[in-house]
Amino acid sequence: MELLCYEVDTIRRARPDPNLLYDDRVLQNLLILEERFLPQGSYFKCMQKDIQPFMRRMVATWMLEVCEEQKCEEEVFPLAMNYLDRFLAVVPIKKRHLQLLGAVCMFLASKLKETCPLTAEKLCIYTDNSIKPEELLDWELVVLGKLKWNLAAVTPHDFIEHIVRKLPLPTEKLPLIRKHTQTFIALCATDYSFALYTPSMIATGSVAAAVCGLQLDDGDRSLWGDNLTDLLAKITNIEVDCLKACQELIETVLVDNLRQVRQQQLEEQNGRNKAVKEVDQSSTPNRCPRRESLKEKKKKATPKHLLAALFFYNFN
Amino acid sequence: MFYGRLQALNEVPAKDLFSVGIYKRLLLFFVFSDQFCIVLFFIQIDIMDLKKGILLSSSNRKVCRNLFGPVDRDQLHAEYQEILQKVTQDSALKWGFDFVNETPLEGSNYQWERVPSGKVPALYRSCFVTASIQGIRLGKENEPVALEQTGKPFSCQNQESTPKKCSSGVLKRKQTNITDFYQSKKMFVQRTEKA
Repeated sequence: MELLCYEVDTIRRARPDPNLLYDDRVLQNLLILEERFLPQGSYFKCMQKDIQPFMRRMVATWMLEVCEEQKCEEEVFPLAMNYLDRFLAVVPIKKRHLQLLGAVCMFLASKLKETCPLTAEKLCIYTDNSIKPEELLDWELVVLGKLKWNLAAVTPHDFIEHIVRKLPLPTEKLPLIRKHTQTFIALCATDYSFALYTPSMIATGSVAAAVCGLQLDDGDRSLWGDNLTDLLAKITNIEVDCLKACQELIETVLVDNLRQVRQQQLEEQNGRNKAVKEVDQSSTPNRCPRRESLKEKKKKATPKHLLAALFFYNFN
Repeated sequence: MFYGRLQALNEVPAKDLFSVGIYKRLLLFFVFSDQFCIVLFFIQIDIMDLKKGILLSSSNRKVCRNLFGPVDRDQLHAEYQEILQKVTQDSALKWGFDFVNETPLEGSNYQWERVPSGKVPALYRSCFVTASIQGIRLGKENEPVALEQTGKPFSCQNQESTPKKCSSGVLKRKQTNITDFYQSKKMFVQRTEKA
């Protein structure tokens, strides 16, 4: 008799637990807990000397790409960025070691959230072997110590279900709304402007952006404009003005990214040589402006598809 | 002029477009900043899968890459040592315990008491890592012999499990059988079979 192996490499998941998702106490506890896991202040101003916001974006984009390629759980990337921000808020880091730190943060977040976590070797390969697994493990300990082993941080993802279930949304649209919300959350995590926002704020703003963005024209006016904002603000106990500001910031970030994508596309169209000449040199504080700025632009240009969501045809 | 463009856009089949209403304001922004062509620019993109799109712009470069140049290994190690030392110092102060020399510090808020390692759950024993480093293979969990090998204070009498094997002091590699743990159940099954 031959033995057949029916093992498949899909990850087994628990079903969503209604006790956790449909209990308001959970949401209230998350709202209380989330403050503990915010980075202590704006670290580019007071703590970091060698690194700058655009470098954070570079490493964030790289981390997101690794997570995508490795098909990590959605939460891994925002959680890793939370570790990164919290660590950078307390320890000054050299630019050259920033990628190592990003890898360590992904390593930790992946271990916490995934059944098959990323391996140290794999992460080192993704840095083009610029770091060694031993270094990754050494720094893992250091990061853990500095984070005081508080790894189970509240992320915006924890709020998605709690928010979405309270909105009068058609069931068939929910998967798409969740997906878009997750994408907005990922976008927020790549941008330093959101580093000091609470996860609940980012989640609420992202849901708002997703719902508005999809413009569910089922005639349900309760989900339009201010109605939606008021409803969302009540769910997570935030000020309406703050929520609006957050949503606007998300839009601004989208616009910025969209511009970069467009510029990049134009550069590609015009050919590389010409593109190098056209690069705006003022935007880069580097020693070698031309090359660096070109590189940087490429790396900065993040979410093309997301940005493509800027398609709005429902205007009259 | 703007209206003409908007009209043209409206004629594009709806399925090619993404129903994104949020950005009316942004649209106006684009229109008035004369960047409206950007909208048309994206029309051909399949935007249903937003998530993939995050990476679309970077699809032509490889993910494996070194972002900030070569790492200075010596400096990295020095920084690591420095931070680790700081972390250890902080925790020593916090808990009133010197974790390097494993001795309590004086004048702390905590009173430390020595507990035989056999009294703590297996989770808290560090013997297995050390044992594997020394090349000692152990067949069973909770095997107390490893602790003796590490040279840490250990008393056989305090060990909850398998004290007999401990007293022999011989390191032996033994295959663990499931019956080691479920003997009674097995006997029960046999009995029922006979009955």
